[in-house]
Amino acid sequence: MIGVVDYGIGNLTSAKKSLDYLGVDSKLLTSKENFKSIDGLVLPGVGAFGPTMTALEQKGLAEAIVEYVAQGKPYLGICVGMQVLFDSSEENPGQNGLSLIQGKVKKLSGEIRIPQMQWNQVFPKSEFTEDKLIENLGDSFWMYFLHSYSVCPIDESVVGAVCEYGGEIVSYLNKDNIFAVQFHPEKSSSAGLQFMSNFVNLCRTGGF
Amino acid sequence: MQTVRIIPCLDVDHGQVVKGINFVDLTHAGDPVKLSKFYDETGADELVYLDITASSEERNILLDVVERTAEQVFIPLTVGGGIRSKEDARLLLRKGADKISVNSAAVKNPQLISDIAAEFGNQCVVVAIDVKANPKFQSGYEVFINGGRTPTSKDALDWVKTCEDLNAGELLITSMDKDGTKSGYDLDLLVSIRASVKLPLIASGGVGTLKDFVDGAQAGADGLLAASVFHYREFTISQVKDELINNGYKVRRDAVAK
Repeated sequence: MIGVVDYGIGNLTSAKKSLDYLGVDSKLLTSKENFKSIDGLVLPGVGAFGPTMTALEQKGLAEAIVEYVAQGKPYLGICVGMQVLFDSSEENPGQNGLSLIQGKVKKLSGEIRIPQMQWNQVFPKSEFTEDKLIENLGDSFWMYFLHSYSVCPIDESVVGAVCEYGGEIVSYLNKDNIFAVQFHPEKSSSAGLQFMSNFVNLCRTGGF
Repeated sequence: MQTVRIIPCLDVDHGQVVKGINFVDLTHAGDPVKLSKFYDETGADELVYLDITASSEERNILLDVVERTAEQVFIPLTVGGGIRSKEDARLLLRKGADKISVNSAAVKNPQLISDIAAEFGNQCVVVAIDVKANPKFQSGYEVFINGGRTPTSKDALDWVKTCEDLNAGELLITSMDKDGTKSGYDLDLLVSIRASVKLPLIASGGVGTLKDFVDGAQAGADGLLAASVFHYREFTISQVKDELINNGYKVRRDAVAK
């Protein structure tokens, strides 16, 4: 059973719909009590860092996510669900993140349009070519991005894949049982569905 | 470099696709969900639904279509037609729309743009603008509403700047003069709008040849919208993307071509 965290902001059902489409059992998690019996956790992200963290904290979900991750079970953060793993964000200074990964979330910069609202080509790092979540997606793959901020981990060895948008943007990262993407696999057609399917398989088989 | 997006547009009436579907394979005919799935599988980057009846009693039919589409189609979906309030937008987003397109209601009540942007983020607010050439206006173009029936006395360039100030996320520009003519997008219009605003721009109305798509990109459009050339299978999305790549544009190229 995969849990999809529903913290009440925006359209969070797309990630669940992609799991339904793949025939995977999943349920929406609206409170910390629902976290029992979950083998994989997805935190989808729509909206801003501050309001997302506030909603997670108010509903006790932030604590539940940290406890869940501490059990060593797989976590997938999407977009803001990736950003809240970090210590803080330029989007809402003063608001703490979950601090499960050290580093900051910074505003996109350069001669680019903000937000990045487009499909972009994602390139795996050489150390990640056999990574279970992306190994069958090819030497590069196209995913749909929609964001104005991006993550900057202090430990760069967690970076699994990047795209180019006014500089190198961390698109996929993995640290132990934590997996996170800046793009929206639930809106990225067949490549995105393959990625979601890979995550589900990893939840079933373990070995990460 | 921005990736140029190819966007099939489906005109939906009473839950059925109504424009130019005669030559589409019978298994897709009329059903927006099946047609959308087909376009997703053949490489469309986004989809636009325009609800052309948009009366309140039809609203539930549209919501059902959007919901069924979102269960099977995993690319961004913009839905427009008769959206008058934040609540209309909320319902569509809940059912699975990713972006909301507002047109007449935004002209009548510009605050609607900033209201929806403030509530759901400006990335989900597309302002659709129908324009017609008119030399009496400084830009040479006047904005029309109510499906192109009603002139507004608004200058097109003034209106696009207002939309940007009101925190719109994207503009969908349809040239009424070009729509249905197959003589290409209105390139002068696109160039002048591109020079006036930084917002992402979707060009609509007039595509007839592969070169028209390239010209649209050259004029500064980020999204290239077309309806009949796709519905009638005059071109596949693949062919359009090949043409763009051959002309030096960046497009997403991984879906299986059919």
